[in-house]
Order: sequence, then C-alpha cells, then structure tokens
Amino acid sequence: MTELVPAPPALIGAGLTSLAVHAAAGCRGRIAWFDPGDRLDPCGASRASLDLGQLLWLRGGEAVTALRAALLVLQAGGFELIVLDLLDQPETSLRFPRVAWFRLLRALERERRTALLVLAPRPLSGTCANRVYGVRYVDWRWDSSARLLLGSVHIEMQLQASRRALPARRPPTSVLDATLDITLDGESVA
Amino acid sequence: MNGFLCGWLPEFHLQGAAKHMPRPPAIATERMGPLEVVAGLNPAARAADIKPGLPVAQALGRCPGLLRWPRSLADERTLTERLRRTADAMSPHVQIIGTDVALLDFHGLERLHGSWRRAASAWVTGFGANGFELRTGFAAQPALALIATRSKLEELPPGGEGAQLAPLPIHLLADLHELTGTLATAGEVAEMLLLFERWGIRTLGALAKLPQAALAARLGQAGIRLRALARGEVDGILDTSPAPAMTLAAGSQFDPPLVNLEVFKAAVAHAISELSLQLEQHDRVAEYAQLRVIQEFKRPEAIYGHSFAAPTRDPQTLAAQIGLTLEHTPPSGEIHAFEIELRLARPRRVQARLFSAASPDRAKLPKLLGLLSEMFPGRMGSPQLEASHRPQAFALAPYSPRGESEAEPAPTAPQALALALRVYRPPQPLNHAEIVRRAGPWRGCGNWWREASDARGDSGPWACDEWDAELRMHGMERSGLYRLLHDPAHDRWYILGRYD
Repeated sequence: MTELVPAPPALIGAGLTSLAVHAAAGCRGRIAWFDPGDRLDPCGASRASLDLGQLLWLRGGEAVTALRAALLVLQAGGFELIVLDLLDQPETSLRFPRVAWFRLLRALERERRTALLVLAPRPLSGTCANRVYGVRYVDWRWDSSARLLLGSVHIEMQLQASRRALPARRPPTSVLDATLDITLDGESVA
Repeated sequence: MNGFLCGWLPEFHLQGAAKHMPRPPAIATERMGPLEVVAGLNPAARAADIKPGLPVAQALGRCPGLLRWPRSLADERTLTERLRRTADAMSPHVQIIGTDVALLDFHGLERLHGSWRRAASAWVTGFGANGFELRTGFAAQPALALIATRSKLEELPPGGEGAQLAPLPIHLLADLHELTGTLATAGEVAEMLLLFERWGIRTLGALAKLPQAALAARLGQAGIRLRALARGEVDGILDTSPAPAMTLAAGSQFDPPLVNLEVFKAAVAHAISELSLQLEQHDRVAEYAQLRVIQEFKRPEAIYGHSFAAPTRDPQTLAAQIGLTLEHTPPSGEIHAFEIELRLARPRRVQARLFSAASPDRAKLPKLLGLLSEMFPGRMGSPQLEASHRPQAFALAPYSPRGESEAEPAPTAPQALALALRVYRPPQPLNHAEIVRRAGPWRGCGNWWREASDARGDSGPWACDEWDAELRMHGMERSGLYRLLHDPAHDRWYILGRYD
C-alpha cells in the first residue's frame, strides 16, 4: 500500500494523478480505479499508454463505498493494481474507521500480487501504508512553440514515512529525506 | 543396511501371457471391440516401433516374425500371487502395489538374509529359473526403492538420492504412476512432462532446481510432488490412498416437513457448505449438482439438475445458483427430505504466459463484477475512446479484460511521464479567476455536417477552443494549472479540468 499526498507548500495540484496514471500504464495486468470524484481522464490515460481494456473504472459514489469495494476487489484477487483516488472529497467523508485500513492491509498481505495506490489530500491510512510520499510541483515551464501548450512540469516526491524504516531505532535520515525529482511533459497537441 | 527392497515385474502383461519373458519381439494381445490390439510388449518389439494399443495386424506388418500370446487375467493373477508369496517368504512386512510391484520392509533382516543384495539376487534368481524377469531396487524409503527399481539404479544410498537421480531423464516420472496417481492422471503427468520439455527441463536434476513456490503456482500440488520425486525427497510410506470419489452427496430429513421455500433453500445451502469443505480437501470443484426433493407420501420425487458454467467450490455461489433453480420451479407441497449430489471435476488452472502465475480467480470475476455493479450502478466499466477529437469523447463498455490465454499487446516504447488532467464533469464556468498565463488555443470542431438533433442520437455539431492556463482563483493565494474550454458559439469560458 502506497499513499501519495500533496506536500506543503502545495500549489493547487501536485502531480499525484499523473504519477498514478503512469504507475497504471506500467501494469500488464488488470487495474481497478476507484474514482469517487469522477475525475479520471481516459483520453489522457490512453495517451499515457494505459491499457484501457484492462482498466476497470468505478466512477462516483461515496468515498467509503469506494473503500469497501476496493476490499471486495482485493479479496477476489487477480488485479495487479488498485488505485483509490480520494482527492477532491469533502473532509467529512474521509473519516474512515481505522479498522477499514487494517482490513485492506490484511487482504493485501494475503493476496501478495496486488498493489494499492491511495491518492489522498493528507495521510489517511496511518501505519498501514508501506510508503507515504509527499508530492509537490516545483515549477512549470511554458513552451512557446506551436506544438505544445504546456511545456513541462517539475515535481518533487519526498518519502514522508516508510513502514520498513520503522523497526530501526534510528531510521537513517537519508531514507526519510530522500527526494525524487520528476519532470512531467506537457501534452502534445500536434 | 536397513531400508526397503522393491521388486518389479516389467512387461507384466506379456510375462503373464507368455509365462516367461521372451527375448525376440513378442506381444500380449487383448480384444478391444472388434479389434485385437497390443496389450503388452517387450523391448525388442518396442524397437520395431510397436506400441501398446496398436492393432495386431499393423504390429505384424511392422514385424512379421512377432510372437504373440493372448492376455490371460488368470495367469496374471497367478503371477501376482507368486510375487506376493516370494515376498512374504522374505519379509513380514510386504505391500503389493497394483499387480506387478512388491515392497518389502528390510529392517532387521540382514542377519536372516545377509545383505539386501544377496536377498535380491536370490529373489531374481528364483523368478529367472522359470524364465521370468524381476527387477529390484533398494533405498531408505519405499517410494525411493520404487524409483531405484524403475530407473535401473538398483540402489539409492541414503543422503545422496538427489545426486544419483539428477542425470536421469525426466520421462522416468511417467513410469512412476504409483507415486503420482493420487494427484494427477497419467495423461496429466504426460502433459506436465511435455511442458517441462518446452521449458528446457530434460533431467530430474534440472527439475529439482526449479523454485518450489513458482512451480506450485503454475502446476499446483502435482508439480510439487514431481519436483519432490526428482529431488529424492519422498519420505514415509507410499501414498496409495484411492483417488477422491467423483461425486459427493449430502442430505437431510425434516420432521415436521417443510413448506417454506426460503427455509428449504437455507437447509440446502447448509448441506452445500459442508460439501464444499470436502471439495476443498480433495482439491475438486463441482461441475454439476442434482437435487432430489422427497415430497409427500406417494408423490414422485422432484429432481433438479444444474450444470455450473464455471465449476466452483464456493458454497455461496453453488447455493445461490441452486436456489435460483428452485425459485424458478419451486417444489409443490410439503418437503420431507432432500438429497444433493455434486459431480466433481478438477479445478481449472490456467497459465498462458511463462512469467505469470496460474490464475484461479477467473471464475470469480463475474461474481465480483455483479457485486460491484450493485455498488456502482451504471458507473463502472472499461472506457473506450471514440474516434473523435471532441474533448472527453469516450464511452463506458462492460469490463471484459484480456483473457489469460490471449496474447498481450506488444509492449510500447517507454514514454516520458505525461501530465494527467483531473476532469470536471460537467465543465465549470470560469468565474472570478485571474489568468496569470495562458497558452493555446487548440481549436477543434466536428460533426458540422449533422443537424443538432440527430435522430440516431449521435452528438451534434461541436466547436471549442482548448487552452492551458495558470489561474489564480479569487481569494486564493496560490495558482494552479488548468485546461480551459472556450465555446466560440456562445463566447463562454469553462474549466475542463485541472492538471495534477
């Protein structure tokens, strides 16, 4: 279970969805995308090489329904990646009981072949997530050429928490402070 | 040396029919319908390209001087009895496996017989004096003794079984049906051996080096058993327990009789849940269920049959499908008793790709999609793009992922990370926002040849300009990246989505 959250000081948008789409595009198996906010752009996902035939897109509904359905999918097995997009959800709908995350974690550990990627406005799963990454835009570049509208976006990922680092008495600061700079290319419109 | 001695009568049918092991090409024959076919043969006949099951006329065509005897069950029984009697004379603990193999516990018998070699030699000589051929093998475990006999190694010293077996050809496993028969049929073992050959596994040593977990994921328990045999890690006594029955049955009687269908369905579901445990134990699934409902006195039994499209052992699925059958034609009158019988099948394991594990969840997918469709009515599926440049032109199709046996599409070249859009549905009117910077437009139009109200339900003409913009919303300190839509017909601006 990996959680992606906006890292402060976040601009509006931080690159979480782009990273999730890229992760899904790297999968060769089935993907389930829970999208309570109905925000996924299938056209953009297809341009990012995501195999739409393998994508099960579950749109709308309550956030808690998405969480419950994600558990069902995990228990059924056979999916390589489950994306739980909880961004743009009202704060009151994100107060899940802690046991729900532990159930997801238990199912993940039993299944062992499925990855769960949670996009959330803040860390929600507590200690259940293997990794929590803070993501933020560093800057973006406009391209004046006719072929591109937006040139590129420079985002930064920072590992905020790691379950593997917890057992150590003094987690190495290099692990917790590791940053990953990623450049996102703008969409080609030509 | 303590251990187990195994004696095996090769080409048993031929030895039984001929009452000796002939050296020239020879066969034992049996009737199969109107044909007389080969039932057993010796190595000389095998060298002449004669195989079991071949019609005798063809066998004679391939080898005109072929000797033949009709197979005799009585003579075979006599030979088996002779094997048992000679084995009993050597050891108090003897196990006869099938008709042609005898296993002797040789513990503590060295003082009586000398070494196991002397005992085996005397045993072989006893049969050889009458023209029969007996092969022997010795090992620390019964199963290994059988392997030593079949492989002509004669002895597998304890501790070094794996090394001794390593150079042997993998097709030796096809002859060890006594050890593999409880997990797989001879045909299934042959299929697995063919699969190993495709993987480049040709010796027992190569099979022994395969990782156990990966092998289990692909071939199940039978794969693990074959690997254990190849490593010489079979211990304990031979597992000669019979194969699981092909049917399982359960039932119940009611006093007073039932009249409520829901209660009856619950009773059937309870019986099925008990049977599903047995299915799990035997590693089987149910492919057909027959429900006999015994009703009032002198009324004929009501019999319901249901063939499962996807054989399963899941009790809820089985009960739900039988329940639907009952609801369709409910039993009339009081129900005194019922009996349910499940016809079993082997679970389907699929592995179409070399680097993927077998997926037993294929049957679960329809059930999962059914559950999800109740939670997301009309809002789930697989997006399919339309052949249009209109923004967000896609349709939601029923989810039908690529099958395990279908080839994966060719991998595309790795692409740079592309920016994803979080789409607002419907697009939001652009109000109270400061445009810090913008780029564009990307102009598009389509369907201009159609009327606005198309009878076929297709979208009418459309035209819009798309822009990328950095917007600072009213009252917000920070700006964000957005995709804007401009409707030139009405000169209105919308936010299509936000880059994220």
